[in-house]
Amino acid sequence: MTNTELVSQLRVTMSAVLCRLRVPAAVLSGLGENDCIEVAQPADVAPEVELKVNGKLFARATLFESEGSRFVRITELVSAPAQGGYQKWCLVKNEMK
Amino acid sequence: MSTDKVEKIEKYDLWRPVVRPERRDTLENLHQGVGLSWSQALLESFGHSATITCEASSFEPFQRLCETEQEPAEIAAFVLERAQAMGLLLVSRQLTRNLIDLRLGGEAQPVAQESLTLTPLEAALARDATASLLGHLGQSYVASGLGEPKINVHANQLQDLGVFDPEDYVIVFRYTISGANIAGNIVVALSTTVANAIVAHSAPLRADTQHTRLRSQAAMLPVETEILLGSWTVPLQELIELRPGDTFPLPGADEGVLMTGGGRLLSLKVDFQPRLVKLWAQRRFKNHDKY
Repeated sequence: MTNTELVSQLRVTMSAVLCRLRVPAAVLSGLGENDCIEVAQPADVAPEVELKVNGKLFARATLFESEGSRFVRITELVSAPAQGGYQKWCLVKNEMK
Repeated sequence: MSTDKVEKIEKYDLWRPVVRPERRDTLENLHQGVGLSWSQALLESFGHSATITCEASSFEPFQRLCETEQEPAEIAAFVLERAQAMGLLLVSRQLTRNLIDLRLGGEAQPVAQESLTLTPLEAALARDATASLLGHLGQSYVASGLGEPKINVHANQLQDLGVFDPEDYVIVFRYTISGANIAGNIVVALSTTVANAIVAHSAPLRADTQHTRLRSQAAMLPVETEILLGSWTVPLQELIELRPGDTFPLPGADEGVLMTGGGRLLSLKVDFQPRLVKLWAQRRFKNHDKY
């Protein structure tokens, strides 16, 4: 088998990470259906996502929606992985329960 | 007199170890749960709803296991250091072949006898698939206080492992797979010392976690989480060709997953608003699987 054939057979797992949060264990374990975590986003800026390959940061991208589907556009390929910080959030409990 | 069902009478070895019934039940429950965990992982990783069921457990000499499982298979022998026990995970070649097909993005197909041999690349994928199954098994062992299994040898025949003597008694759990055209079987075998460890380790652990003060402190510990919008597999070639400015769709419309420690905890509905992203909690994943 040549190197090219080998490479064409291999598949990797990509994942898109929106953000990272630090949440107390008690809040996590108490999350019920339709409880809402609200994460602040800068205004007038497309949300950013991190693209990971097999769990390692590979690229940064912006997220946009079109016809009900989500798309990402790569803005930067990352050679020296350094993850971003944690974002601010607040919990809104589902009042209907 | 009916002769329809003839019970096989086996010689009773006087040196046969004794496993107490309650410990045997605990071990059986644990391994039933492992079957569920594997089924869930198949569904989440490949989208196929095959069911992996622990069909039977037995207590037999290693020699008899070797006689029953003579076909080549992917076998990993491991050590549970905390429980001071040894074990093995055997994945039949047919199941291995099906898992390789799924990992390469294809569909599981019935396996012809001549295609049971593996190329070097397939052998690497087979080992990876076995490691993944062992990862799920390990999570259950860790949760029940047995500790994490550490692989010490791989083989394709039980006789080549060299970790059990033929007369050593082992506790054997046999799994079968049904559904999604996936066939084959899995065998987990553990040395009898594991039966002593399972109760000895779980009792003090339970006592510790019931301590109120410790529990309230643990509840306030911050847990690092990630919000995952989607996950998919791509050929390596496609990945290499990606450049800034390239655009591609994400799987799923508004779904997301809350991840902790590399495992899925909760499914989410993600709603983007001008200054806010709303993450609506949906259903909790039964098994906090590695992803």
